[in-house]
Amino acid sequence: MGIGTALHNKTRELCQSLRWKEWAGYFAVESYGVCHLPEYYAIREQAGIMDISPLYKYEIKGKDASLFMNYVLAKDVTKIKPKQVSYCVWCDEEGKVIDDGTVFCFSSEHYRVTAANPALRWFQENSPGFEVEIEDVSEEIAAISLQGPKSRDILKRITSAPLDELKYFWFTEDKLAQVDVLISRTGYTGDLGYEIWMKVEEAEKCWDKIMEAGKDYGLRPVGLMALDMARVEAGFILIDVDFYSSKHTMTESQKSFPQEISLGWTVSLKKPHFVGKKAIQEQKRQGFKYQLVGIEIDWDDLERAYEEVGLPPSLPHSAWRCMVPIHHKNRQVGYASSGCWSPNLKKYIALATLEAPYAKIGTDLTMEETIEFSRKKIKAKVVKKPFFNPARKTS
Amino acid sequence: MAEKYDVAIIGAGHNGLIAAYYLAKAGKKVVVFEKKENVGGRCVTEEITEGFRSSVCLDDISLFSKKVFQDLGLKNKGISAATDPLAISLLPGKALIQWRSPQKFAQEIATFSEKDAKEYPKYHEFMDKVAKNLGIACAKTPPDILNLPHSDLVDLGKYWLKLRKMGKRDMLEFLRAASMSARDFLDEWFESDALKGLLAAKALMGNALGPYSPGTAATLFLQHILSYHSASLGHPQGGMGKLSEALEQAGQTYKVEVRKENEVQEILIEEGVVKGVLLQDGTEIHSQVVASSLDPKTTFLKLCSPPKVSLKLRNLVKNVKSQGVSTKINLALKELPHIALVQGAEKEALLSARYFIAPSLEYLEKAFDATKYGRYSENPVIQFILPSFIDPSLAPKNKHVLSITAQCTPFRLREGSWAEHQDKFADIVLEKLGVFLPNLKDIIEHRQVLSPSDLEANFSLNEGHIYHLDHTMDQLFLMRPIPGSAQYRTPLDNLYLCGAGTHPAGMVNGLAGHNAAQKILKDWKG
Repeated sequence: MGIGTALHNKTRELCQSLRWKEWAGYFAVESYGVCHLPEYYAIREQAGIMDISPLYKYEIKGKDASLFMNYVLAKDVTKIKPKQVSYCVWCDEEGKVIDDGTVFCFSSEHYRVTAANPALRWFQENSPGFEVEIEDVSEEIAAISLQGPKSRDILKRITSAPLDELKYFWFTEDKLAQVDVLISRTGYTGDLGYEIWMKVEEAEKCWDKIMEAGKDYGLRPVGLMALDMARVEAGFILIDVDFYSSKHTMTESQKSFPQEISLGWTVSLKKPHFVGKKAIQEQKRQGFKYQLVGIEIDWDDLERAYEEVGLPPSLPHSAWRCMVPIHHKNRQVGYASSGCWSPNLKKYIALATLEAPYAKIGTDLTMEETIEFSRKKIKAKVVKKPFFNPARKTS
Repeated sequence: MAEKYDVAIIGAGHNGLIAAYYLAKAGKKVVVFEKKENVGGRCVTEEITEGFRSSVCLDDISLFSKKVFQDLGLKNKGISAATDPLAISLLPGKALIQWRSPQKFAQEIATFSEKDAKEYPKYHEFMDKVAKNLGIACAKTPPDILNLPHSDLVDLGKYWLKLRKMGKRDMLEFLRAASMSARDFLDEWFESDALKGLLAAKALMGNALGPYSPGTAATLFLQHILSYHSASLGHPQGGMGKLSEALEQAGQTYKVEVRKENEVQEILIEEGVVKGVLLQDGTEIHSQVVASSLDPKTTFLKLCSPPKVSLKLRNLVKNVKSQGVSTKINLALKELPHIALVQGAEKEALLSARYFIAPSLEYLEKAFDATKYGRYSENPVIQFILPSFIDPSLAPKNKHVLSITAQCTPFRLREGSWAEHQDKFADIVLEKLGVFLPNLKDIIEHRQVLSPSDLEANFSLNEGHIYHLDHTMDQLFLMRPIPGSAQYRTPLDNLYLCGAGTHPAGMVNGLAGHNAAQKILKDWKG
């Protein structure tokens, strides 16, 4: 089991359920209360606060920083402006995704990258010849995520940062509780939200200040279970759940091109060489075999299947993460990798990887469901993702 | 329109100039770009202080190839002839003088060990046999084992026959010895610390290696082979710069264009094919072939845009062992230093020799130990010559210059920088030398200390390595500098290497330039 983050003393006091998980070697709260649903509702109705310090963070500095980032990331990094954040993937030489993360641009000579998996070695391996310094600052920078419709109002009470002007996926550097912080309008919930980054020594101070400012707004600490539901609704994929890092797979078939996990938009084939470009180009010519899409499971059909065995319909009360076969007629054409009942949308939704011809919106499919010891096929349909996309996310 | 040449050579060091000579002689239009205002690279004569000139970087051309010397007609260019003795090892109260003749050297050895005196001529004969038979390999491109074209197969066959010609016993002995450490190998032959120390010091100079390091016996063979096929030169009249000038002049006969103060900023690459070079002033030069006489790290990692070089190649190059461990100290002296152990009728001859402070293998190894921990040695291995004794024009009348190379001083210090430490290290060296040159401290007018860091800055030597890369088993012959680039041709089409970091070795022998040119010409024909 892990170690505590810079905010462990705070989260431990609040975690009544004693439900902890391991996240990148750290303790992370699964849910603060015995039921995670109030935390989910906080994200969607008021605001939720979360310790996201376990994220890996790297500083890339030097004359060639932009050239280097443009070489290791699939996206055209030269287009990211100072104070902008960008969601990026990086691939191996075979064009298969290694990891995804956010890139913060301070200047063309200074970037910060967050990652789900350790990436220092990979960055370093690619760096010979580039005038860059790569530093692992994972243990020096703590981060607090504040997500939900009231997040801006809460923050505005405690910082003079120009939050009204701060656009989606941009950041600003300011003071909060007399502490130097970086506030980015980012998050993993698909809602209005901010991530606040500071030195680990000052994390507790910031946490206290935000908690205090949020009292009047129904702010709650939220755990990973609530987050997982929110991110499925937002259509965000998760490494080791919806796709695998090509560095950690057991078989070739577990690896994915970015286009196969709905991240084609983060790949720029127009820019000069980047790691994996040739392979991606070649595969593009041949066509990508898979696509990652959103599916909606048909409520009426689910009810019917339960009724057949004399049971009332049962729904997952938290997000699930397992591989569930998806069929088109009688042939398996893919699998769902995570899903949940969306209390907000009142829909049963899932993220699924399908053979490309079956990934069109509206395609009729079936998803397996085990009911009373036997496998049933429940009608499902390819739908647009994100499932939930409130205007406040970007407004 | 960009200017067009057949071959653009980066760096007017001796190898660059030699390659240029051969290519131009074969009818190619050749241009050489040199960052500094003078040619020579590591082989230059520069003023150390007013009135005193010295070979400020390298000062030894004893291994310069006889073939290149003859081909370029350097005989009548005033470059000095051989000196005798070859080397003198200074020991407490005693000196070991290595005369050119093995028999005469054996007589000197006898004062240290009767047994070694008897063994030495046999050792010399064995080393000569290896040099005679395998020396041919030094003046040729190493075989490309991975692709093994027909001609390389023939070469391999020839080398095998040459090996066999040594006789079964000697062949086996060579194959066994080449992978041993210098200590293990020398211990089998000799008992005298002084003799073993001197032989190993000569072979290991410039390398981040101790005589106990595996594979260091190979450096003894390498040194002997190059020496056997050398033009037997002493320190040149006018210093090392004189050699470089002679090489530049030789090239002029065939219209080699040397552009000084023209630094190459980037090697132009399109889709893995080298198209020419971009100069610092923004000028583009197009050429069929680009040959770099710079070290592989500078060539691949600094002059090429990294995204255009494969990751595999960049990592291979990055991991090459190239940490410089030598510090050069040039002294301007008020008068001739008194070398306590040098006297008698042969004094004149002795003063033109190369001196070593390397009393034993253990001493060498301990000096190297410091390197491993990012420190410089408190008991450095030192070699020095008195160039002004051979060529009085280098210093004002009755004054002298002393050219010292000392190690081990690793480029990467664990604590502090060389700017902070180099004077402390120079003091240590002078202290050591003072034991044998008692009046040295009192006659120094000026001292110039060039740490590995200075050598990097002043002579474009990556990490200050005077021979570009270590002469380790994995970085010699088929593997120098890296597998896939040992045939001078690199994985980047039309880019060749022709410097000290390629086969056969550093140590100013000129063969890298010679071989690379032959390879370029051969590939040109297709």
